[in-house]
Amino acid sequence: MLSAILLAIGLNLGSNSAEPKTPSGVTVSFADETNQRIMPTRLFAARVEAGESPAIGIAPTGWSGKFSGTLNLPIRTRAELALRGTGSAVLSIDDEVVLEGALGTDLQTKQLRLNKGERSVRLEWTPPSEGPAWIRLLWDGRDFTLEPIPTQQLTAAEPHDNIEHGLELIAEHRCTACHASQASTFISDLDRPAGSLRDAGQRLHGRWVQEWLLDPSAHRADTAMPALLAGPNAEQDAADLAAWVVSMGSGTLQGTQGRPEDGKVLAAKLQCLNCHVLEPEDDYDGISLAGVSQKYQPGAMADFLRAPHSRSPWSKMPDFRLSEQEAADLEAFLREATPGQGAGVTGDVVRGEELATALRCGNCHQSDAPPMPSVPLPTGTQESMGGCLANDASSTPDFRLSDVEQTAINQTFEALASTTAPTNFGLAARAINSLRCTSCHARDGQASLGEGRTLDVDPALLADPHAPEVDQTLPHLDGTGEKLRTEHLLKTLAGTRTEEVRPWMHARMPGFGAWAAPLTTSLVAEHGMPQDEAFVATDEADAAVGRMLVGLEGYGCITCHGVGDEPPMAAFEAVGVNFAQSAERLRPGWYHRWMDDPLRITPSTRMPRYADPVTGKAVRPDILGGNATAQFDAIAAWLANGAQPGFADEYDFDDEDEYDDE
Amino acid sequence: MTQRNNSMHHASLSVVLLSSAAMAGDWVTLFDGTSLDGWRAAENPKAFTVKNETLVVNGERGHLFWSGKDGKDRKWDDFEFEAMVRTQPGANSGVFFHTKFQKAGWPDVGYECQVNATHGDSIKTCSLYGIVNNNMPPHVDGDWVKLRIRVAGRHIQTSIDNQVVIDWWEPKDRKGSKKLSTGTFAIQAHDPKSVVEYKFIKARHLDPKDMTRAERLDVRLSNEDVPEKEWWNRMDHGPFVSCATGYPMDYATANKGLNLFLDNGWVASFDTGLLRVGAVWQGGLDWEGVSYNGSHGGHPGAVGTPIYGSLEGPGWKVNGSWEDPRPSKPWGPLPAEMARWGGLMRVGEESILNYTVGQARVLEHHGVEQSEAGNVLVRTLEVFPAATPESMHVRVADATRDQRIKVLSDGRGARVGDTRFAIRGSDGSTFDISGTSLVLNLDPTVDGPSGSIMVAIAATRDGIKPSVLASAAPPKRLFTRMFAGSKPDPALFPAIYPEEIIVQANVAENGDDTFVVDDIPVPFENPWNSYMRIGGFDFVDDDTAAVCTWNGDVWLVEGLREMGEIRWKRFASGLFETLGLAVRDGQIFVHGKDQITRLIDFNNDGEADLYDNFCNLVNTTPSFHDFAFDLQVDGEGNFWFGKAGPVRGGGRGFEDSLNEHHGTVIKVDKTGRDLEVFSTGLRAPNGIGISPDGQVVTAGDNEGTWVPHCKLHWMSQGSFQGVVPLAHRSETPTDYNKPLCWFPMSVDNSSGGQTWVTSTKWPWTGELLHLSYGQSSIYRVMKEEVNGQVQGGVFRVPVQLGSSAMRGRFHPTDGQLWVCGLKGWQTNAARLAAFQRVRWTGRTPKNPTSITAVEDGIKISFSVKLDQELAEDTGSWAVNCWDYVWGPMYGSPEVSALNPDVEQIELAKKKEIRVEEHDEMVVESATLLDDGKTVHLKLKNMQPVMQMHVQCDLESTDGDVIITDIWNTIHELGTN
Repeated sequence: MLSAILLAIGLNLGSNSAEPKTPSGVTVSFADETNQRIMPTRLFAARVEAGESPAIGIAPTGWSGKFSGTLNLPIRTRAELALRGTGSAVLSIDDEVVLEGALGTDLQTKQLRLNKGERSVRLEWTPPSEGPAWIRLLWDGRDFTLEPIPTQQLTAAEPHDNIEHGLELIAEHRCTACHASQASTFISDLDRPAGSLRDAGQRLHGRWVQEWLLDPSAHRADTAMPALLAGPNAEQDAADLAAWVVSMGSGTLQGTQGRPEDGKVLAAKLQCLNCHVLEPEDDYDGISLAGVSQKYQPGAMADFLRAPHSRSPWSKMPDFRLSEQEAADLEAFLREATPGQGAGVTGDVVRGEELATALRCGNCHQSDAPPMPSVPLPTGTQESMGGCLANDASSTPDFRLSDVEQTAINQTFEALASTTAPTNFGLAARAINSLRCTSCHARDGQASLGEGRTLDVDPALLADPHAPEVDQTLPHLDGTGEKLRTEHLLKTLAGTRTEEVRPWMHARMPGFGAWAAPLTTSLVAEHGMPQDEAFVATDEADAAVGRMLVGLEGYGCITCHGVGDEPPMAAFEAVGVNFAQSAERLRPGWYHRWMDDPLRITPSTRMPRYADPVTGKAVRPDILGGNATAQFDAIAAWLANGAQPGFADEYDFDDEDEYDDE
Repeated sequence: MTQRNNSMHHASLSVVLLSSAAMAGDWVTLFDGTSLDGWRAAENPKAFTVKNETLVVNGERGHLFWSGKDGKDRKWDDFEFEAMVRTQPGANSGVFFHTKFQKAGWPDVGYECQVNATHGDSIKTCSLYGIVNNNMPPHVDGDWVKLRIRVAGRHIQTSIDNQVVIDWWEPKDRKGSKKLSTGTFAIQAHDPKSVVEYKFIKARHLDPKDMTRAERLDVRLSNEDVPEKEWWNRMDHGPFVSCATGYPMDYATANKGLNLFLDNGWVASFDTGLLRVGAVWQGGLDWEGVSYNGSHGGHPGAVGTPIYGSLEGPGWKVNGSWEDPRPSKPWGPLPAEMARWGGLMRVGEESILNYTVGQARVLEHHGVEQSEAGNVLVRTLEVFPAATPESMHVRVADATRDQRIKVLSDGRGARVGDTRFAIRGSDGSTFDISGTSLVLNLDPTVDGPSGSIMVAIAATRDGIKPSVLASAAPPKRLFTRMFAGSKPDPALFPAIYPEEIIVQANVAENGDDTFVVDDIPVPFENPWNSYMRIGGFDFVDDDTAAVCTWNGDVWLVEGLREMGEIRWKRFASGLFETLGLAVRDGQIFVHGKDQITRLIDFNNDGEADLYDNFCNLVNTTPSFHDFAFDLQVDGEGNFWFGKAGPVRGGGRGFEDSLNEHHGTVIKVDKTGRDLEVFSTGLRAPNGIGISPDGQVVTAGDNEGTWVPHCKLHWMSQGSFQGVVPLAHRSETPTDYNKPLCWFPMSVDNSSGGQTWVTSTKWPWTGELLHLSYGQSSIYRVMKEEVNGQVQGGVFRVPVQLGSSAMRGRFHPTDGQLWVCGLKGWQTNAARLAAFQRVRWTGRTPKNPTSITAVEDGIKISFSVKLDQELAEDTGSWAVNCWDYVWGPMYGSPEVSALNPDVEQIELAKKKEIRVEEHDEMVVESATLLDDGKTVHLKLKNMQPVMQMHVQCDLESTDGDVIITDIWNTIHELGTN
């Protein structure tokens, strides 16, 4: 039994994680008749589409879920708890049932007095027998409106298994390229082909390829590329392999002349140092760019940066939609900022190709070496860790995996064997980790990892002379799945949005290639949200009143927010997102939560609060009876009707878009 | 057009008028008693006959339309129409206006002014037929009466023998064809039984000068089709506006500009800092700037055709030199002993400036003469010589790069570029050239009866030769336009804003609340479209408050005693972004960016006549962020205010144009003749507080560069409050005077003023209140002093205000807190402005009363006895803390106070970083002390922290729930 195995090998207790400050959220245990999975997650929430499994190793039908976590209350708190979703559920606090029944829209407690300190919260969920299954636990307190209990206030109460970690390792190391798994059909990010080598000859320097092959982890500590060569012939093997690699494709890339100083400014604006370091080693856990000048032929860096997903759709390098000049500038900067230069290699191409075939290079990389047949996994798991997982430096391939990692991989392969349906629920957590989203964005009360990292660039160069010096804080990711509508989220992650949401920002939201679609789905699942929700103008809500509220007779929102092609009237220190995009961007529930109390969602926001958090009364008592919800509904109705401009004519302010510099 | 000029040229003008009725002002005879030339009858011409110099109207229905002798005089918009009219018994007729020729039927277009004393129709003479009806005949049959119709903008008046019968403003949204437009007149024949006679029929076009101020504004708006929300173009700013003013050509910007709006769209702009005419042009102002169109870059500038102007430097030769003698060059005023700006006397629509140069007093007036030859600007000076008048020289105008200067051989005429100048009066005064300047050397010969020199400088670009320019009558005395004997003559200062706006005070019901808010509706709709953002107020007496608006108005608000009918009266206008007002000894002082102005109403007509410069020693720069905040008077009569530091357009970092007054709290001596910087290093002290004993000076501030978060400053003489570029000291400070407390964004993101509770009719007598502009909230301050350091915190007073919380004062007799606020920059304020009373209902507020920091924790006292069980349950309490980082970055992250990350703190000084790390201060025990009201919280890791947040969830012994947040700062720990 899988569950027995998991318990036997010891579990990773969330609250014991190395960084005590990291919010650990809660755990959710999914179980079918035979298997059980205990996964970490951020919220008491989940969504599983019909026909999908909640987790790998769990059957798509006949499963149930059990969330458990500790709610940390700084003070005695008066709040109502509410459940939304499908199926039925039992909610207990400190082992006392407080809510029970079929999920709908009205499952809500009376006001409870929850004592200060750690409250044990358990939520047992039986999903519906058919149709999508989803659940959300919300609370409504004296000075906040209905919201998911924030992750910052939750800690896991029980250990979770290592399968998610194992899955990440298997995908990173591309185990399934040689050990084919049926689960690849069901788990979007499991198979991620490595970069194509077909045009390596015009991109890479042979010498670098040779050195890389000899010891990839010496060049990049976190690489998934195994060490393939060992023994006395390794040098020659590497030379021959490298010669073969650079024999594929020829000629040189016609590049644009780059300007290093512009590239540096651009690198600062794009915050490259949030993920990268320029030195071979650095205190910061970043990907070193120290070898790039030796690695890439002239123009190849720019070529890669322009379209990082063209050779590998799963490349974790995001696509910043750079212009040719920008990419060339970045390359020029990087060539100045990193040492050395490339050199060729002398080797036997034919022997190299033979080696490549034997080493199964073609299984991961598109190349002239053919993919070799799948190799069945050895059975018997941990007692017989041979092959790839052998802790034997002389054997190859050597993935340099720790014992814990090896164990996780073994367990995960077991779980993959019983995976029979698509599953998306846990992918967001894996992807956000892999893609380093939190290097740039804050999440769950944690500042971004790269916060404060900066290139030494004169601030005057960063400032756009046409744009005011406004707040450059990137949005946090606490509520991404709850906040953004699916289509917009997908476009955002795919980098295919045509409209910049925050055009005043130096930073640029990049695209993430093949990751975008499954990550979108999974973020929605993580928050237990419906697939999509649109702004709908209710009958009661009057869009004309909404427009008035947005205008200067109302709350003057247009002072900071643009409307279509009309820029904000007088934004200062902070600019708001253009209203023309709001209905297309936002889910209505999140919109209301934001309007009720923006400071609760983002304590540093400059967006003022227009409702009293305690009484819920609107700041304007003379409109719609001072009912904040009704007022925000009216604004929503105006947004839903397309948020037409026309304020500039009415108020006669300069409608030349001062942020649009293109 | 001045009266004098009008009569001078009347002969030639009248010839012109015959062919062009478009020339304003002169009467056009429509019927001279001899013929119906220029009239065209429709339907029944026989009804109109001329007998005995009278037009007799009698016959079947028909209308007689005026089209002029050339058939083209059919376009009348703003006009006055007069005719003598006599009705016979049972007669009906009427005069149509804004109508057009129609072959038959009752005219469809325009209004009919009814003529009917005894006809069966109940709609009588002077009615706007069918629209505004009068049922009382204002005259009797058989008598000749004068019928008058007047249309100005949307204002329509009809009268008989100068008694107004109908006085009506046409609504803006009036539909159909029976409405004001442009059209001609028609006289009606109603029926064969009606006999009505007309004679002396005449009309004249109305010039804006012939209209009331409200009409003129209305005309401008209806003519120019100004968007409704472009309020700065719709507002009647008054006869003058003070602002930093940009000029055309190379003329130097006036930091303290005073723009006089003259006839015919001319503007004469006087620089009150340098006593020079900055520029004169025909056109207007563009209303750029933060208080007008919201721009964070600019300030108002001239638009139109320049006539002349001057470069930087004094307008008079002071101290024997043309050199700029200002120690504060280029910002402040000229040294008072050399020359001092006195102020402005508003004589009706016109302004007379007064100032001193050395020992001499100068009165100055600008006016425009219009003639067929062109327009002439006349600058009149009346100089009262006292000491050495032979040394007096006026810098008239400067040549810019491409301009030549020439003085005629007799010295009485000159030319700068295309502009010609001539001297009128003072025969011995002559022009001269000094460098790029055209200079007037004043003849010391006194020619006025009270010992003054009278001289005028006429200037034109219309090609009029200097000899003609000079040939007008000699300048008239300015003194006599204002004074009877040695005192201002009350009769000489007519009101120009006579209308009062009457509103009803909204007095709230007490309900269950401790405090309620009574509202005085602000007259957002007023005849002048004045933009009513109230930035300061004080009580003139117990019934009247004076409030100032950001756009330079002062209004009187009367009726506060009864709180029933409240009368709003526009008292003054055109001041420079006034955000502070105080009353001292019954006199109104208002604080603008250029000066503190004392407003004096000579004749008690509710309008200020003298705009007296009380103190203009403050430096003024053209920066939008050079805000002049608040105005307070201490017990000795000295004035206090805050002065912001000019930040860059985006708000991050400061402009280069810093001077020693920026980012300070300033004290002005009670005489107004001395100014001292009390405290430096503030960023935007929008609101200060002076304790009743005058010993404590407080200010708020606004998050930004070197201001980690908003805070409440508790200042002392010479203290530095934290903003290094505004420290104004030779050595760069490495530390700053600690605030009483800091505020998180959600508590205060942009501070207002402070108010001491001086009333005994309100709770918390002797305590301090802090107002938040950004959060539109009032906070009660709890303070303590430990080891000489003041510290403490606040809790929120549970009231919801109608706008932001900018200024508060206690009423002298009702003892309640009055608050005003506006919405001008980032705030959650509900409305553009509010003026309200926060009234205590008499219920005991259940709130904390003090917080003190001790070695092992904090002690918090409450106003009521607490339920012991809840008070001593540590679960009823939560205490968190964090620190801010003081540095050159904009604002600050919230960093751990208990486990400070040194690297992170250093980084936050170099780059804006966003982290929010709050530490829990574990409540180890809570003990209710013997008084039953004070709880001693023992806190683990008790230590000084910049920000503490205490939450409690308690009940009183009476069972009232007390859930409160306190935000406080601890610098020093007291003993347990």
